[in-house]
Amino acid sequence: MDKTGSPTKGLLTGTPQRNSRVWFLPAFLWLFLLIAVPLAFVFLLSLARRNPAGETDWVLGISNYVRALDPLYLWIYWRSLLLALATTLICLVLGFPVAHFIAQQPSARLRNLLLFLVTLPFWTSFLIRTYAWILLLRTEGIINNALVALGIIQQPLPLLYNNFAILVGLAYAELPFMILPLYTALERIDKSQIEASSDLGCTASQTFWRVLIPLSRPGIIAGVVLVFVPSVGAYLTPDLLGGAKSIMAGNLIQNQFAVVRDHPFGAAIAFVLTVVVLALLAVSHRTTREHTELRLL
Amino acid sequence: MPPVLEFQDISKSFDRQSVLRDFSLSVDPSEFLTLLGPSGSGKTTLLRLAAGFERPDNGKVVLRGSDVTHLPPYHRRVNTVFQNYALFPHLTVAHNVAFGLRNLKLSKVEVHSRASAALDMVQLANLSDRLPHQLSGGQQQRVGLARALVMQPEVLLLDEPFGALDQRLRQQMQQELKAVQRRLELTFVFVTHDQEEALSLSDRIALLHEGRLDQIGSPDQIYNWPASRFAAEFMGIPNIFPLSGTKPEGVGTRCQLKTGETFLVTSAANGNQARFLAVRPENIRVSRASLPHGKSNNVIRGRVRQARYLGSSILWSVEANHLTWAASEVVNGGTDMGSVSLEDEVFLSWEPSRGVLLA
Amino acid sequence: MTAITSRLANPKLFFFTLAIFAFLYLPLAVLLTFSFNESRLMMDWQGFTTLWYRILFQDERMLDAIANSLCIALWTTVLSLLLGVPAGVGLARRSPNGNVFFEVLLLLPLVVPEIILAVAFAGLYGFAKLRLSFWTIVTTHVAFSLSYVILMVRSRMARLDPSLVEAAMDLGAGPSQTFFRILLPHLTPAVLASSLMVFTISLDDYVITSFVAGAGNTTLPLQIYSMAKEGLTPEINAVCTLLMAVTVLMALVAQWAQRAAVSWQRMIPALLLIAAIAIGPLAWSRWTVAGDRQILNLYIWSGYLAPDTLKVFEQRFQVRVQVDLYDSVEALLAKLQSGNSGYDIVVPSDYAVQILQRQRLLSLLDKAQIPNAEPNLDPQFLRKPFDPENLYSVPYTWGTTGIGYRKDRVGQLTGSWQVLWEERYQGKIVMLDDMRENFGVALKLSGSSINSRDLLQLEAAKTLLEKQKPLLQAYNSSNFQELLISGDAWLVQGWNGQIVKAAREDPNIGYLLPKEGTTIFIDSFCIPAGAAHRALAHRFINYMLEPETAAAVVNHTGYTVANRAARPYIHKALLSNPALFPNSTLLERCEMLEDLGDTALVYDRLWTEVRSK
Repeated sequence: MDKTGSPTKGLLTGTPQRNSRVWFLPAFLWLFLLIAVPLAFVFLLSLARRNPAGETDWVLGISNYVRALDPLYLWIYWRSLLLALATTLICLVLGFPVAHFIAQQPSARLRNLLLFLVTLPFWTSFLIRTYAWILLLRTEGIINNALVALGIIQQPLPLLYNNFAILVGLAYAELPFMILPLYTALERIDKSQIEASSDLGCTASQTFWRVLIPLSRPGIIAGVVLVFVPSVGAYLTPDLLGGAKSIMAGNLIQNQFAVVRDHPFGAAIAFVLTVVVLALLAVSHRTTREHTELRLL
Repeated sequence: MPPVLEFQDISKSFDRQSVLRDFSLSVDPSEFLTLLGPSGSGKTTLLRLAAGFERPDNGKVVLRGSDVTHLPPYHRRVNTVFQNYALFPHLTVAHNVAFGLRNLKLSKVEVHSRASAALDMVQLANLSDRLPHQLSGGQQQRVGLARALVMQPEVLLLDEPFGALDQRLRQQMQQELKAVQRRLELTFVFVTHDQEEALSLSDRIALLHEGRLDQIGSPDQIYNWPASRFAAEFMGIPNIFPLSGTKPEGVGTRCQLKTGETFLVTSAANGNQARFLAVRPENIRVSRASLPHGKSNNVIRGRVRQARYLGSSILWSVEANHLTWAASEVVNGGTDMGSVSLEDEVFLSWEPSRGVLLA
Repeated sequence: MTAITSRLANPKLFFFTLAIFAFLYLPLAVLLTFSFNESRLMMDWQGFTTLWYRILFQDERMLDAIANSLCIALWTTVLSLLLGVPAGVGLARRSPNGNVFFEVLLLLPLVVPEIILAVAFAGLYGFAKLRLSFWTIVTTHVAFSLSYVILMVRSRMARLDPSLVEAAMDLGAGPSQTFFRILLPHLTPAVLASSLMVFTISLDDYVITSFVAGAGNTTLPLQIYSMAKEGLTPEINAVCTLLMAVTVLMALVAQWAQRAAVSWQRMIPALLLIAAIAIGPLAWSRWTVAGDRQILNLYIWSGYLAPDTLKVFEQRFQVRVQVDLYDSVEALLAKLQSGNSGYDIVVPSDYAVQILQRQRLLSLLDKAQIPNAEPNLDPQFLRKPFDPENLYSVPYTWGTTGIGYRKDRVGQLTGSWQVLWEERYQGKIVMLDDMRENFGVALKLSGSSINSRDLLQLEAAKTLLEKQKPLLQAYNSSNFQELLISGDAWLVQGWNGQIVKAAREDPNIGYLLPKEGTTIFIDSFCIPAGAAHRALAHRFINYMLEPETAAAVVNHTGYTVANRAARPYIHKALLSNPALFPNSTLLERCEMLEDLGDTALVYDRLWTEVRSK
């Protein structure tokens, strides 16, 4: 007899442990073969070397990692992290009030509608939206034309092909991923806690900082993770909106594979980046006890 | 008649905590049996063992003579009414009720007619197209009941079904439930921690204490003749006094309290192994004058310390020889405030046949 | 204290939210509006039209890509659900900290940057020598979508009241009945939400798909990206608008289904029916046209074909040509080096032929099957160092890299590359997003060869480029000519063909071949090793060497061909255009790019330094 003794602890009879394995075995295998194994392969690749013809020599060593930690590249990782951080902060600042607003709406239908509207842009092609931003931000673009026509500025502003444009593009793409987890966390907050806070003498602003923010922490963490990670590895947006002028970690990696054809070095950079991201995530996970996965529902 | 459901030497632990020990019990056909006891006494576990949601570590569960211990719930002809209703939120009332019928391979017409009959029985026919979240608690519980009844199980298991309802509604539902059980002549096993509920509904009550069967008997027996201190306390007898010794006397027993007084007790039960004396407050008369009643009455003198007005009666707390006795007096409403007052010196008297000796 | 809980009493929050929504929808509004705009350039409104929608519905390549993407997304969604829902359910039953390994595995696709996943997948398929196809794309998409489904389902399972399961079993429902009648309905929100999410992610994926797509498997994002090179037209807006409309429709249907508590039995067939209706006709047109015709898989530079080139070929030989486009030599090399792309014809540039041949990725050409080669080709372009005997390649087009400029902005040019370093044009200069080309210019300016391996010369070149960077608007290899046309840039480094084409649209645009000399490129037809349709490929090459065909290419695309027999058929205006046919003195100062071997790494490091400032 199994130790827990309950055949319906989940939903099947028989030993729960054995049966549940059957359920996720296919998924597990798929993920293992297609994610874990290739990533392991990439790791191996990072230990190999590129020969003059551009092929891979399977002579293993850590020379790529030594190279990947060169100050030139460290500076690039640093910039990418900063950019990702900036994007995350922007999304947080822009997204929190919106999530708060939606969570406050009394009618569930209205809330769902607003959430749907938040995510709708996400359903259209990322590339197309990026090209649309190019249209908007160009020197002769719509925004500049409008501003000049309205007399707000005399000369068009340089809105495109710089860090500003990259931030706009990234923040735009990631904003829904910040709003959704924030909303989920905020919606779960018991209204009576907010009322208790003001009952005890806190002003609206104090309540905000001392009650609302701490209570929505799981949502904040989830949102930060969902925005930060893709931003670190972004390469299309810096390429298209940044005019390819500043090289980010993502571009660096893509470069190694598509241009220089130094696959081992590219793999090494990729791994350094992954380790950094994972380390940051582990730190943030440690500081919250709860599971902060995708609390999107 | 052979029992419809039997627990044979059931033992069950969770996380090394023993919840049931060598528990045995038989349920007779068409009886309303209540499993009564405090939380943690194992009564819910017992029910779940009967339903098939748990398996015992040792022992057998036997249904109509066959061993169903290892049968999964969907193969047992028992059904459960859940405490939190457990209605399927995505199905209408009608579909909820008809849920189990699908597995019986009946024709659509028969399914419909049986479901309608069940709904009629709980007076919810007009709400058959509603969804559960649109119903009140009481209505939801009735749906749960109909859903289980429609399956015509050998035994219907009810797990504190009225726990979440308010007093008035609870009483109404209790009456309806009893009526249904009588009419259908089904076997009900009912779990509750509310002794009033148990007393009013049951044919027999099984009192559970720490995983063991403490006492089993009719409501009258359990109420008036608890066999253990636990039973007496659980059934709400405040007057429980430790004994220093007992001695047979005539047809009864003379028992001596640790504080010295002696009383004669002529009710059957326990005799020599008794360690406590218990007397129900309503069996104790209180008066200022010593009663000229039969010399066989046990009498104590004391002083009234507290009075609790309970509406239809007053509960007097009388201090006598360093012990507190509770005596209950029926009042007639209006301005009747009982026959004595606070701080009065009074006599308490009770008949020997009303005393209960406890193990 | 209702101030916090009442929207009206907190107008600031309301307006802030409104502003954010405006931000979210601004690009979409622009796209929508300009999809109906007469003008191609999306700058000013020139009248309402449905032209672009009509073009869209006749654009076979685009429709192909859309159908492909939809099919892939559909299969991905179905498979992800089939694998992920049971997995999420099974996982929910275990203790949360049960299997650390699996938890990590589950989160990996979400925390590893996309580019790394892309590389990993491509590596795996290359290693397993798997031919890239529709199914490799689907498999890959499922791999990175599973986690979403599993996590969402598991999260939803956690909210399931266990007594519901018990009640079902109590009433006689066995495990599978319970699953379908109780669990699945409970999971509906999670299933719907994750389906929408997976579908969209699959539909929208560019990075990973670009690494794992093979011949004839263009998806919508890939198609859009390659179309950008030829100039974005409002056709893309039309696509976007339609996609949005479809998605809104899908989401509305999902919402309605959920609210109406429609039972699974009725919903699934309905969904399949809708899917069949939506995708069927497109897929049908794709696959029946192919029918039993042979297929030729062509991988070629974008902008290298005239509109009818392929159609005539298809008609004449009763075959079907699948075309995929690239916009950089490296993209081609990367694709072929993965070893399993499935292409029959590729068009690598000079040094790329060398590289590919050294890696034994090219097959020998059978001259007997290309009778047009000898008589028609200009000997000037044969027997080049990268393929002295023309064993592997046959030249197709050639061109130069030069300066495209706006005559109305820039005035008289001195004819030197130096103009790209002039401060008065700051912010209006665009260089190619190409390491070799940038260094080529800098090296030429300092009098060195574009294939220099001298470290000192390279350092000097790097310094020059660093000095130039603050003056640049952008690096752009895909649509620099658009920037000239729209006036965003006044000076661009670009390939002559595209500039010439732009000049035809706007006479204010001119092309200059700088006096220091520049890169000259020859793009040749090659047949990859292991190509499936060799005979057909030879026939294609032969066809492309026909005078009329070659001339049509020149006339349309602005690039010149290495085909002397084509001259009579080329427009006079083009023949006398110095941009296309520079004089011989200038030509002598031009060099072809060569493979640098290990020095490529030095270049890369220097280029990275330039770019990271």
